Amino acid sequence: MVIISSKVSAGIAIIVIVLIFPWTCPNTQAQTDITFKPADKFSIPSYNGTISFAVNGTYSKATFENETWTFTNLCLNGSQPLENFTISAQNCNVTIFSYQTFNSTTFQGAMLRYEVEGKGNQILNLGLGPQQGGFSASVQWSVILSNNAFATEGQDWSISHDGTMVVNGATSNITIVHWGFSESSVPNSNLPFYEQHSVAIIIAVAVAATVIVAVAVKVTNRKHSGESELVKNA
Amino acid sequence: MPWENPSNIVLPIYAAIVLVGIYLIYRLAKDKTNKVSSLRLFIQIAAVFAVFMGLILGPFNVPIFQPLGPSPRSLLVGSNFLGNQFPDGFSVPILACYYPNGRTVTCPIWQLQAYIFPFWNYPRGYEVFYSTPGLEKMGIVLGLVAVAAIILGRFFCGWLCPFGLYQDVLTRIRKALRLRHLRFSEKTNTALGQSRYIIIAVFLILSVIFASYLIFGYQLIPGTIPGGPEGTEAGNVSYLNEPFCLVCPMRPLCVLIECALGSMNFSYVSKITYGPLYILGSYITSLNLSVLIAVTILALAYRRFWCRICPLGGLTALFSTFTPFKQIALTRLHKNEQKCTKCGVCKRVCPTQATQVYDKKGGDVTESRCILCARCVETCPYEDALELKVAGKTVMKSRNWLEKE
Repeated sequence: MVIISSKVSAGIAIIVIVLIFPWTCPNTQAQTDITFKPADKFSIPSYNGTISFAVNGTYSKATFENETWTFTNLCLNGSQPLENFTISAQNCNVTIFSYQTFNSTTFQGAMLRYEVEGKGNQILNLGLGPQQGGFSASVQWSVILSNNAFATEGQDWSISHDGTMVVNGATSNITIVHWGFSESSVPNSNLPFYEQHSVAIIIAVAVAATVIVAVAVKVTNRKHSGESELVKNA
Repeated sequence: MPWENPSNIVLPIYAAIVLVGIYLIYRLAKDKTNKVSSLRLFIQIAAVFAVFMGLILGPFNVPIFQPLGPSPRSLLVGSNFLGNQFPDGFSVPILACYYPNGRTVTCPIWQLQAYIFPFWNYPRGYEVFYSTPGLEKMGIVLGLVAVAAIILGRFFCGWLCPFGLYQDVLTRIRKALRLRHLRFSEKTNTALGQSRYIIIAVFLILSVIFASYLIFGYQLIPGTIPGGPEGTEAGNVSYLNEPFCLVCPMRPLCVLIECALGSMNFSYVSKITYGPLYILGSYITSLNLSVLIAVTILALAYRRFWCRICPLGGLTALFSTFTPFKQIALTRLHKNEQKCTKCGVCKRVCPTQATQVYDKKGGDVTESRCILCARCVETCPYEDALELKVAGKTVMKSRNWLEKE
């Protein structure tokens, strides 16, 4: 029978805790985290608005400046942390339900769900980096209303180049989705031409090969049919 | 090793079943006037399985054969080949759209519309790279369609298209009800054939108009942010900026099949709608349903009605029956002038009312309306009068079925 000493079992327990804990809330420094509960309100008096959360969670720092709350390493009920999340509410109360991220080899996305009470504006920034390009944010961002309808960019919501989003007029559940692709999906301009355009090159070769084979087949068939005509006539 | 992955056995088993089925039909079908039709029906059903299950991936990379391990799709067209440069699946000229078959095989009409629109470019709106990769992708689609059309022509329409099968089933229902089919006048039928190209042009132009805000930075038609006029289905479905897909009659059937297979959750389809029935959008629009109902009624009355106006069929015909492709296309219908007695059976049985097979004296009688179903070859009662040739080799020819063996 194997007897494990109390020191060894304590060591194993510590290792297990160290291994498991980052799973529940990665990149969060436990010793500096501040916990919050659904009852906690983050008010914005001059805007007549409040921010609260529907679930328990933690953050490492929360500051209130320019009528905007900034949360550092915000973690909702074990979600991936929002490293730098800013939010403000004008004439409305916002309750944040969840924050989710989804990843695949070529695609990364993030989704924030919240509920609004009162017909006001919500100004928020998920801190996912600056908004690049200029034509439309609607290809990167969606604002989905409670009836699953997509809110119209420019009318129901807008986004600035630093990624700050303003959602206005909504009075129910809102889902903000960020659609993005990982670096691996972006064509790498450093690659040689034939690697950047390999599919197009393969298709061009396939078309050329098909045409050549088809022409060869036609010519051969015509030759044969010409020969057989000659035999018949003879 | 291949046998270590159970999914590897799915494709060989599928291929074996198809081959055995073809052999059995060939050996057992006694009625020579139905032999090819039986074979065609079997291959159409097998193709539906291949498209929706066989090749095989459910929507959003959910493998249908999950219990068996990775999808056999990766064995065929693995993502490493298509990769990030062309992630939306092989363009095959059959009506079976992107959602249902999980990007293994994709409808080229959808792709052509989508690639006009910068939404489909990497890195998805971060930069305006749209023209180069968009045009490159359109070139890839047209290249794949050209290869398919040069090799097999509209054989895809006659033998592989799921919507063709749907219409053939409607014809069988009509026959079971002992109702006669109707025929268009020659003039109307020709006009319907020409309308295919107008339909392609209109929908590609609409794609540009609906995406104009994203392409040019301003709206060609006011109120089209981001995907069509406000208050219409195109406008309401937002990103789904492919106008033909909003009216395509195959789309509801694709969704129906996928829901039946369990690879698409019907509640997911039904929940993502916009407004009441008359304007509902996203996966199925009321326009889709209306067109499907109209086409179903018309296809009951007129055989293969949709194939006469199908823009995808028109595109395939463009690469197989018009100069210069006509000269090199490999799958052709051939008529032997000396054997033909002008009995007119071929003209009567043709489901799309193609006339060259009767009118033309001899030689290559393939035309853009011909879907290479070989119904004329099957019913022609004169030995060797009609032949279906692939690369100059006869694969089917008419038999004197009037004489008993």
